Amino acid sequence: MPSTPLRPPGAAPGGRFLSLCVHCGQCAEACPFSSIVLDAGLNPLETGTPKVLPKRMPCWLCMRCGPACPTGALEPVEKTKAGMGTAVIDRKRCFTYIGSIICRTCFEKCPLKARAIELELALYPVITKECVGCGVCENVCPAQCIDTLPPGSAITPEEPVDPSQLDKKAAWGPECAPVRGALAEAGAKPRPETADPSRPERAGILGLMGKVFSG
Amino acid sequence: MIALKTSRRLSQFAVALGFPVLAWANAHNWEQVAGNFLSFTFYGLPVSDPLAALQVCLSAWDAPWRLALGGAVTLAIALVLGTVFCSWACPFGLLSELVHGFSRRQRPDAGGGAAVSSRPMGAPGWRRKGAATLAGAGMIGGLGLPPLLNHLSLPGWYSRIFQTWFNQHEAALMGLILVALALGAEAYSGRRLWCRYVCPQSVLLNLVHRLSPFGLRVRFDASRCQCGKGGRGADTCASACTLGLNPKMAGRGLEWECSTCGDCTQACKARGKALTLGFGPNKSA
Repeated sequence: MPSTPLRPPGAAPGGRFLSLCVHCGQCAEACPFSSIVLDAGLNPLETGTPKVLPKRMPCWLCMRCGPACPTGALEPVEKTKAGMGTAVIDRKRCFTYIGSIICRTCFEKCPLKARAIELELALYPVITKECVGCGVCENVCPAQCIDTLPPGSAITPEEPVDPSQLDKKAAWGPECAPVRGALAEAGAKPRPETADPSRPERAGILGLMGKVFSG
Repeated sequence: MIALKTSRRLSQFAVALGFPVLAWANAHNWEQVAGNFLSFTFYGLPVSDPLAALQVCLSAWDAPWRLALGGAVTLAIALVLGTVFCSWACPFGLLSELVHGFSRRQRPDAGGGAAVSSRPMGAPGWRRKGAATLAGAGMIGGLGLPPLLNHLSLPGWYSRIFQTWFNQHEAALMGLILVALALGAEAYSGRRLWCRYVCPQSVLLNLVHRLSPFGLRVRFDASRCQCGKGGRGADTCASACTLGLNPKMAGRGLEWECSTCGDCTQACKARGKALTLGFGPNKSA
C-alpha cells in the first residue's frame, strides 16, 4: 500500500490537492463505476478525500469526476492527461515473463490500448510513458503482478526486454514458433529468433502440463 | 395555518431523511443534486459551507468560483434570514434538539425551563468560539493544511456517513464516533453543548446574522411582556428556546447565538406577543 493513495484523474499535485479538496464527495457520486471511494479512515489529513483502489475497482477514464469537482482539486482533463500515476509490472511474477502462459490481459484491457502498454517482441507487456495510472491492468492481471503507483513514487525505469535472458527461463521454445508467427502476422513486432532448440526442460505451467500429459 | 414549530420540524425531518435518500440516489447514478453539507450542487447551483470555502481559499490561496459562490449563497441566506440553517435544516441540530428535549423530560429539575443553566453565552463567550474558529482557519491557511475544520462539521459528517455507506459500503468511523460523543455529552449535560460552544460552522453564519442591517431577528418589546419578574410563566419563552437562551436578551446579545427558529415567538403568542420576528435592526439594541 503506497503512502499516498491513487487520486482520481485530473487531480492537483499532492499537497495542493489536499488543500483544495473540500471532502464533498461529488467526484465519487459522479463516478458511474464507484471507482472513486472516499477515505473513511481516522487519519484527519486523508479522511473524506477521494481515492481509487484499482484492485477493488479501477478507473475506466470516463472523465466525469473532473467537471463534478467544485474546487479544482480535480480538473477536467482529457483521458490521456489523467496523470493518476503509472503502472509497474513485476516481471518476476508476470505469467508471460516467467513463461507459464501467453497472457495479454493487461494489454487487451488497457483503456489506452497499445499506447500505455506495448507488447515487446509481440509478447511481453511493457508499460510506456503514456500510462496514466488508471489501474485497469492492475485490476485485471490474473497474476496480480501489477501495482499502480501515484506520481512522484520512486520507480526504477523498466529495462528493455532482453530476449536472450528471457529464453533462459521462458517456455517459448520452438513449439511456439507458429504462435509467434501468427502474432507477427497480426501486426506485432516479430520476435528475433533466439530460442535455444536444445533446451531440455520447460519451466512453468507449460512444462508442468507437458510432464503430466507425457508421463 | 401550520404552526411555525411544526413546519420547522417538518423541514428538519425532510432534510434529515433527504440526505440518506440523496446519497442512495447518487450511488445509483442520479446526480442532479449531489454532494454533502460541505458542498453540494443543486441542479447546477453550488451551495457550500462558507467555512469550508474559506479554509480552501486560504489554504490553496485561490478562489475556485463554484466553491466561493456556494459559500456566498449560504452567507446571503444567513444575511436575510439569520442562522436558519441551524434551526431549520441541520440534521445534527434536529438530533441534538430531540436529545435535549428527552433529557429535559427525564430530569425536569436540570434546566427544565429554569434559566439557571440557560444563560446566553454572551458576547465574550461567543468571541472565544469565533476567535478559535478563525484562528484555526488562519492556521490552516498559513500552513497550507487540508480543511481540517470540516471534520468538526457534524451535519457534514451526517451526510458523509450516508455517502460512504451507499457509495462504497463503508462506515465513516470518525463521523460516527464524533456524532455519538457530541450527542452523549449533550444528553449528559442537558445542554446544547456542541451547537453553542463547539460548532465552528455556525460562526460565520452568526457573524453575518449579527451584523446584517436588514436580516430577520427576534425582537423583544418589554412593554408588552405579561410575564412579570419571577411571576407565573416567567420562563415561557426561555423554556421554549431550543438552545436554552433567554429570548428577552433580544437586542442585548441574543443575536450572537440565536438561530431565529421562532419557537419563542410562538410560545409568546398567547402572552402578549412581546416576542416577534421581524426584519431590520433591533430597536432596543
